[in-house]
Amino acid sequence: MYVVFLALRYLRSRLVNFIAVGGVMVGVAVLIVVTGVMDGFREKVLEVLRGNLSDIVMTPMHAPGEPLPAYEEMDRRIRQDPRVETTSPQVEALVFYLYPTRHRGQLSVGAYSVQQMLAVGIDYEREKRVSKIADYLVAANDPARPFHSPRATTHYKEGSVMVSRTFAKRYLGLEREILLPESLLETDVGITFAYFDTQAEDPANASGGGLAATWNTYQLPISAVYDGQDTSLDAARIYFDKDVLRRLARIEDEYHRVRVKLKDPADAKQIKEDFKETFPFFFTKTWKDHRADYLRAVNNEKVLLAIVLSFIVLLGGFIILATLTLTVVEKTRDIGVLGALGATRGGIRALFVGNGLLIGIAGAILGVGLGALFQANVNGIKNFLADTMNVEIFPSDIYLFREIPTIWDWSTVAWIAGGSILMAFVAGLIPAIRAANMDPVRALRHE
Amino acid sequence: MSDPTREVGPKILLRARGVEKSYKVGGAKLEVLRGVDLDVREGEILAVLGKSGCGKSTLLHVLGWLDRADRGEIVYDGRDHAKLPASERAHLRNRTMGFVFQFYHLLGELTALENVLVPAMIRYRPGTFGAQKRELHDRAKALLAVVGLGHRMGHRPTQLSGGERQRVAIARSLMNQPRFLLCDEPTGNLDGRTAEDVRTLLWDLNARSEQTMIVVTHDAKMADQAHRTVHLVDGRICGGEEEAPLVQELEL
Ligand SMILES: Nc1ncnc2c1ncn2[C@@H]1O[C@H](COP(=O)(O)OP(=O)(O)OP(=O)(O)O)[C@@H](O)[C@H]1O
Ligand SMILES: [Mg+2]
Repeated sequence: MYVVFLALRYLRSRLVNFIAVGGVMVGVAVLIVVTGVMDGFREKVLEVLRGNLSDIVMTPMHAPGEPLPAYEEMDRRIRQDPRVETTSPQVEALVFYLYPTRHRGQLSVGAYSVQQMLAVGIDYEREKRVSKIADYLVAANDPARPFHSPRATTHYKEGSVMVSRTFAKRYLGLEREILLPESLLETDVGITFAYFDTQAEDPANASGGGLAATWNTYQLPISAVYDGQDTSLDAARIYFDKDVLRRLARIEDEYHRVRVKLKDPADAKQIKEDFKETFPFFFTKTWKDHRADYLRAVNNEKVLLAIVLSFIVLLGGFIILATLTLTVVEKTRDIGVLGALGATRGGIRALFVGNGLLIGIAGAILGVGLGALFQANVNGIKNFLADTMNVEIFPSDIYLFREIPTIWDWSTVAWIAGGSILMAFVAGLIPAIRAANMDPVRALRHE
Repeated sequence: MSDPTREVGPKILLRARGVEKSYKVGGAKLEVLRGVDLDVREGEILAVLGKSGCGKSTLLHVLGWLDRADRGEIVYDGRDHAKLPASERAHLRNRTMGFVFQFYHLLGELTALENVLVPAMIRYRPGTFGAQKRELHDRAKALLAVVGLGHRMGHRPTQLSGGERQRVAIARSLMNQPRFLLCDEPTGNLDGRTAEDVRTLLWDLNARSEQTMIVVTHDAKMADQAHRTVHLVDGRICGGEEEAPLVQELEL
């Protein structure tokens, strides 16, 4: 009985104990928040990657001399595999986005800046079945037909484009949600881009090497805005209707990517191996392969950070060790008295171990609470820092996402809390053993 | 009520033979006990007298198994100190012995009442303690009332005078109703009147439940009223075999 009673009393009586509790609490909270963010980040990368790609992405290789099988033929053969649900072909072209140069915030008339972009031509009806593009639409003239623009028929004969929210934010002034994405659909300006046409027929443009090439510029209205949530992919990608892009970039029956949706995504790895043999003309990758290095780096970083941050918890352990050592010295006479009154060594040991454990448990519980509170408000804190102090702790161009993604994983939390309690136990054990080994008479004579 | 002239039975509760104890101070050896032979009979009040620094406290510690003797045997209730494991000794000390230390040794973190409860807290597990909490608290309060501190139960040792602390320590020593009480100058800090109250309490206990007591004291009156008085001189016991004077004047 005295063990619990006195452990609580001793805990209450000194301020240092509360400092130790605070140390453990901060360590636990920080560990929880950081692993929560890292896990959330990884999960989000996976989710977004999957949404932007699909289960399997196949890229044709240009084998010299051997013509690729026609798309329809390929498509039929891929779909013969009973594990495949559906496919979507894509064409791609490199284009240059032209936008007015700003000098110190002022538009410089007649001067243009150039940004390289990947134009991706999709068949929307098929694409929406392999990726999450339909979910990612944030604004469209007609959500069922995102490439439909009422302006296309009047001003722009060539069709329209779908740009990302990130793109709009960066180049079209869609800052901080003040300007709604819908407003882009009404602008008359559209976006201007240039395509380097190597198959130009005008011989007047042929340069010294006999190459007849020319720059073609186009101006297209925006008929939809999407948000793929991956700022690095989104910023450099514009979606076109497949047939429009074929016409603009003079792509005949080539195709550059085939996205394959599987009935069971878990088959992806096996199918990738199978397809390598069946379709030797293709690079076949699962969606996970695309950011494999990145994901590994994220994971690595998580482990590293966890190790580094564990030192905070370890520091808490040292505080416990120090305070308990002090307590044992301070309570030497008490230890002697307890021994004289019949407390066993085990009891004395339990008293001080219990003291350490109480600090550990209190710190862990408070730390979990603080971590939960912090994690729930991490985006609020981020925005607050950005707004008031202009500190971007999570720049979206580095970390892909605008919001900090977090995950509350009970097993990780349990590990962190359990680990720090164990550490408190070990930290308490050393002074406790010292206390238990004291000679009661000597302890009694201690001044 | 009680009969102070009651004959003490022949049964020996504690037997010490050839007990030696020395301290090493620097290179020198300070021999404090040099062969103590002592029998304490069941139900007896034994007063131990001696000059300051002659080793009375040391003797009590050794007899109460708090400290180890360098040589000699100490048999308590038929059990040899040297042959018992530490946990067994702790157990016996908790249940059957009560200590009143010369310097009281209360726990500074606890109130007077909690201090008195400590031996019971050591004795019982939380569950058992909880089950009889009422009873134990009542007993502790009663003990404090007996030593005249019924109104100071919530006070910490630092809020009590030396004499008051000593009385709390006496109450504590009685908490587990020990059959053997070792008191190191229990009235050393008390005025004549309170000392008399404490003495009356101890003698009454002895008369009622035949509690055996060793009392180290400088109080001549107390020594006079003990069943037997021995002197510790040069590390040995003298005069132990004298019968205690019969105490006629004591009226309880
Ligand atoms: N741990 C120790 N180390 C060295 N010497 C000690 C130790 N404990 C006690 N002594 C010495 O042993 C002698 C006996 O001490 P003890 O406390 O038993 O005396 P005492 O008879 O109780 O004295 P008093 O009447 O003043 O209380 C003293 O001279 C003391 O200095
Ligand atoms: Mg003494």
